[in-house]
Amino acid sequence: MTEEEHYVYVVDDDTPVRKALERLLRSAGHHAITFGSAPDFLDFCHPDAPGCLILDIKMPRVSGLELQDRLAEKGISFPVIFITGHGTVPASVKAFKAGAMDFLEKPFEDRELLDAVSRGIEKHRRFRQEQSELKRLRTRLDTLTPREREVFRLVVAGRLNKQVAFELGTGEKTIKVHRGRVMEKMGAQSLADLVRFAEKLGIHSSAG
Amino acid sequence: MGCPLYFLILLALGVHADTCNAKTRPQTPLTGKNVLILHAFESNVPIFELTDRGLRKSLDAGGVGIRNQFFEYLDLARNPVPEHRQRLVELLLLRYASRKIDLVITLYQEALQFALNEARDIFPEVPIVALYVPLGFEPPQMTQRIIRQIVAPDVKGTLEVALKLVPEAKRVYVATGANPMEKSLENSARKDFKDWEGQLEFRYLSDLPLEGIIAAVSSAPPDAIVLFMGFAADVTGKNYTTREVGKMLGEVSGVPVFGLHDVSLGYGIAGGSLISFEYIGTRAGELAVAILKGAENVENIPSVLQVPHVPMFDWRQLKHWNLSESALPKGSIVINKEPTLWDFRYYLLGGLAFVIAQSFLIAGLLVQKRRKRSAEESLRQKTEELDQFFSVSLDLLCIANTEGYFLRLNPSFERVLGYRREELTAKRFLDFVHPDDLVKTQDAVSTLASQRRVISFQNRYRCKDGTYRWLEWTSASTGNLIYAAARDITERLKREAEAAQRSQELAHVSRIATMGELTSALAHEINQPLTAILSNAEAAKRFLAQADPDITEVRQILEDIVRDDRRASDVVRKVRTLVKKEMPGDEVLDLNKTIQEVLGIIKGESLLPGLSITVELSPELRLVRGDRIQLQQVILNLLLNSVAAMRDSPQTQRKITVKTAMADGASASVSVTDAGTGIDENDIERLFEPFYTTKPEGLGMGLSISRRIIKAHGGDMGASNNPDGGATFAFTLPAHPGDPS
Repeated sequence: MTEEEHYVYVVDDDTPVRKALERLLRSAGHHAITFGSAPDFLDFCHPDAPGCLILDIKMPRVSGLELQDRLAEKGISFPVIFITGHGTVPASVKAFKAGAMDFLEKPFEDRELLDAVSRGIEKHRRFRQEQSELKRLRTRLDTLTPREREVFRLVVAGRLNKQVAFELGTGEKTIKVHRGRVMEKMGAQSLADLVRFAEKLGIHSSAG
Repeated sequence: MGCPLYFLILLALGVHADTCNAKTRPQTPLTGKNVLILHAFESNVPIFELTDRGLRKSLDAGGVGIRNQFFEYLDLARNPVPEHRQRLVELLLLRYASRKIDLVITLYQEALQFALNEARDIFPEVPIVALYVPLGFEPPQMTQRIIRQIVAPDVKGTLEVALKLVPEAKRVYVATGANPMEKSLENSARKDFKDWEGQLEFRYLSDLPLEGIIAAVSSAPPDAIVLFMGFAADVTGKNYTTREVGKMLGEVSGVPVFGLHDVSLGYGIAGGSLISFEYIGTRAGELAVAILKGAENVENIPSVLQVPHVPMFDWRQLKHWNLSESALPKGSIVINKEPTLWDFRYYLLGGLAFVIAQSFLIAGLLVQKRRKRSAEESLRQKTEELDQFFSVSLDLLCIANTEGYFLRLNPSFERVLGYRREELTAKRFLDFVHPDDLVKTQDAVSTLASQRRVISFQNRYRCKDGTYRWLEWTSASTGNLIYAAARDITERLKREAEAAQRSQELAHVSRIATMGELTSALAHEINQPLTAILSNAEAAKRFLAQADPDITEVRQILEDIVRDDRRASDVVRKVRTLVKKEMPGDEVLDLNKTIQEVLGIIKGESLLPGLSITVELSPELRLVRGDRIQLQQVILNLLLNSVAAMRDSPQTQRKITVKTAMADGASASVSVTDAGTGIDENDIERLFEPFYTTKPEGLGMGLSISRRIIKAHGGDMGASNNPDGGATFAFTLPAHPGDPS
């Protein structure tokens, strides 16, 4: 389906269901890894690859919802597809609030699950890309001097060079040099790029 | 009541009988003792007649019967010739020579002398009672015992009585005959009258012929009385009797005539202190009897027989002369008295006693009658009451016989069965009984025929319209009669059947409700295999669509699909048996197995996260009898109840223990223990009430229906709190007798 290696994790205490889901996912070209309980999954060292989690909401000891909480605590951010034998409104509301991506009621059509899985993988993939771009930008941001960070903040806030120079108490020419260096260090081709990066990094103009 | 009455009557009659006996019963009969009564004169003179009367009476009473009494009248005065006396001796010889005379009674001196002289050899050595001998007569000294009776009229006494009756009397006309005895009497009277000298004027009439005497008396002044002293002959020598003269005097006299002899009483004289010839005869007879009996030695008997005078009066004379009866001396005999009640006092007393007795009898009978009537009345009243009850009773009441016929029926029979009474009594009652109930009805009749009661017997009777009504009978019998009461229980049975059906439906609804509570758990149970099947099937399709399908994998998938399908249908089947509406079954069950079947449907985890269900099933548990589905429902209800109690408990504490054990050897017990919130002690009993619930979503029917099911199986159910928290619900069922394990 996608070129990139990805994994689908299945946590269900019911062995036949677990086994059937693994086959279905495998037949659709997914890499499925199954777990009989939530703790088993938590103990598993999952590969750094796009993936999604299929979680039975009703399980002994640690339920799907509890596992969702634990994963959030650990910063593991797989999209979660809940499956349940008998959906209850409070459980599903709670699941969605906790960021569940999908909620499927057993028994479900294979398409429903596979579509959800694809959406999940895609989502995770995007999430991973964004995460990696942000990481790159942060690394670049770290290379800026404090003066360049000031200039970066004021430029993305829409200030003209002359205004920036005035605010920082220096000459317009100097600002032009700083600005060029910020563009270069951040890998921005245009001011628009720079503004987008600033947004992603959460840099806002303090001069309001 | 009757007894005293009859006693009284007997008493009255008995008294009467005794008095009769005393009068008639002869004392020791003097068999063969003969008494000769020898009269000096003729037989028909009143004095003799009266004397004879007294003699006969007392001799007879003393035991000398009529055949042993011999009366001879010598008639000496009218036949003074010696030849007559001679002939008399011959006659007496003829009559008495060959006969032993044991005692002779003579009347008058002449007869005594005849006996002692001419007839001396005829009656030798025989004691003689000599009556009417004059004063001063001395019999010759003889070996023969002679008891004399001396005639001495009570002139003085009579005058005294006369003066009491006629106090105003100033004159006394003394009328008497002129024969020697009478003259002698007059002379002695004159001496007696000296006492009244100066008060009374006495006029003696004995010197006059009878006509003169009569004339004198008839012209006596009103202040006079007549004293008649007897009359055998007048101065001319003409013979009379005292009675006839007294009668004449009485007829002509304008004043009361008093006499001295009872022969005149009733024949003209008012009365007086009289010589009673009858009394003398009586006394002489009694003396004769005493001598003959030898009770008294003859030697010891006084030689003179004293016979007292008797105050006697003629009531008619007293009335005629207007003489006061109250002036009569005590003990007076009054003749011719118009009978007063007093005279009949003995009859009256007897009669009265009889009347009293009869009154008592009548009163008794009346009382009895009244009692009987009151008894009859109360009986009638009771009968009426019973009749009323009989006819108003809603129940069917009847009297029948063991031959099988109704004898009496109350209106309810007609009302309930629709027949007319005649139709019911015309046939045997068995003809109305439903054919299927015939045998047991005949059995019941046999039971009744053997005098035993039949209670709560039920059978069906055919109504006029052809339908059948159920009747419940209570019957008893006496002899060949059957007393029976029946109640139409058709409606009741219908209601009971409806109630049973409703109860069954309720149990069904309850099971459905239970299922409702189980829905999510059941959905999970069913959806798991369905999910697996669906996913497997889809996977297989995809595998097969690949270029080089892994057939082994597909076969594996198909096998799993089959297994999961079985698993799903298994759940469905189990649920269906629980929810299915069925007639209660009756089978022998192993409760351990039943519990496992229930736990096969539900899993702890699927009911409540973290819930663990532990079972401790006793291998010694005996089998029970009952309906499997109902008992499964009970166990399921108890489990769900425990689950509900632990909904708020921490997951790690969610634990149920299902335990079986034998209780007291004869019943199997099942307990479900949870670690939940426990029960409010005040609610323990209410827990089993319908619609009582502590669960917000509960119907409140589970426990109530469970307990009802257990009770219907002959068991019981209860609840208690555990010492270490939570509650235990338990039930017991009687062990099946056929299972001795």
